Amino acid sequence: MKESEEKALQDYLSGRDGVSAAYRSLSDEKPSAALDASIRQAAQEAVDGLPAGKKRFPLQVYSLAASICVAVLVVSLFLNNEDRLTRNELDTISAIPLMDDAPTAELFSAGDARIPLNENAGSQANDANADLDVNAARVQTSAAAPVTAEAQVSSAAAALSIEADSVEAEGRQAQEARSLEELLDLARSAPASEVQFLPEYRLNADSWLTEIQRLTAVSDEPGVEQVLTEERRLFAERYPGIDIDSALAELEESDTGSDE
Amino acid sequence: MPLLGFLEKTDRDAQLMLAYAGGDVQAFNTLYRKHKDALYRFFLRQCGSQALSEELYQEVWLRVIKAREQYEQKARFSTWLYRIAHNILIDHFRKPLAENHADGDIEHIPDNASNDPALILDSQEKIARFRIQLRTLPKEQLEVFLLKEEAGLSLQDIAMTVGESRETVKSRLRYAVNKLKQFQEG
Repeated sequence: MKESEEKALQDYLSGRDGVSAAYRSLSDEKPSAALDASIRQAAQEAVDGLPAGKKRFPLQVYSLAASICVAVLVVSLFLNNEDRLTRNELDTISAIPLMDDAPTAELFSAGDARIPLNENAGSQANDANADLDVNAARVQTSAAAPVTAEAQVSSAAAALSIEADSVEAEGRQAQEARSLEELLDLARSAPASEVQFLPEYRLNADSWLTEIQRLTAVSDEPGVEQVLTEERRLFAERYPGIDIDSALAELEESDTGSDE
Repeated sequence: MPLLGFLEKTDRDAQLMLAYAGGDVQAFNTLYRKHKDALYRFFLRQCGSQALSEELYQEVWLRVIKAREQYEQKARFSTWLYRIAHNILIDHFRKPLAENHADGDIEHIPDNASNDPALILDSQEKIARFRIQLRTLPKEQLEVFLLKEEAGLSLQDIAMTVGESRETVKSRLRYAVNKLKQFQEG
């Protein structure tokens, strides 16, 4: 390699010779405008139809959000329908007259109310079973009470307020008693095949006998005798092979034995 | 400073290409406007045919568009661009002769700005002779020369573009420059 050639190259690279200038004197050809337009259009179309880039990212987000919304909606509808289905099944299974007027929870409370307990709720049910007219009379009495109180007590306004509350409470009690009485009547009028599984204690003979035993113990209370008779009748229908009195005696003995 | 970090800060073209990969068409237009004429002449000087040059030139840009999502800033954008052009040109030269276009087109000789008929004749004659001399260069030397003149690449970038060593590229360029210089002096 000659040194002159290397020097010529260095001169060329540093722009100190005329080769570059000679080349620049050649025509300044350019691509056609049509070619420019077609390439730019291709670039634009490529972005418009971007298969997986940032431009499509928002669409993916919207699609995901829409999918989540649809999924939540479907689950919500399913749960609602399942709830309705359960209620329908309950309606079908417990197709007794009581169900026409009272919801399931009230049905069980009505069954409990039929059994007078030594508790406050039980006593209310006892009152209801005893006589609705008595409650009505109490309401009337309570309604008349404020007049007497107004004449005798100096704090008439306070007394009136208290008595008014009392009247309202008595009214509610009478209404509840009436509802309980109606429920009991409906239960009594229903066929044994439909009613026998209504209260939980009727699910087996032992618990039913225990309940009859408890009713027997409080049979001297108002209205219990009637319920006891009905329970014994239903038990005899359900378990014709079991002698109630013998079974109760055995139960009594076993209770006594366990107490000892 | 690492090479890649340097390129990220200095190579505006690469940033435009990345912006286009992200969907910014305006970035592509800027990039295209900057490189289109030089790239077109890169093909025209080597092929001699305007139709073939346009075909190969268009192929380069279509590949750029297609490869936008895979583009990584491993080198200067111009190096990457002319590497694509080089490969397309190689593919063209490797085709059987029958498939290649006939290089029968005569290059357009532009109008000269001067109105002096004598100067026009002299100038046009010199240009025409230089053009012919340019065409007599071996294609490897011509390509290296064009990569230097049109693309403005450094010897190292030219080496990366054509896939040869820097010394090989330097040697080719030296031969090309000396031939053209001898022509000028002659």
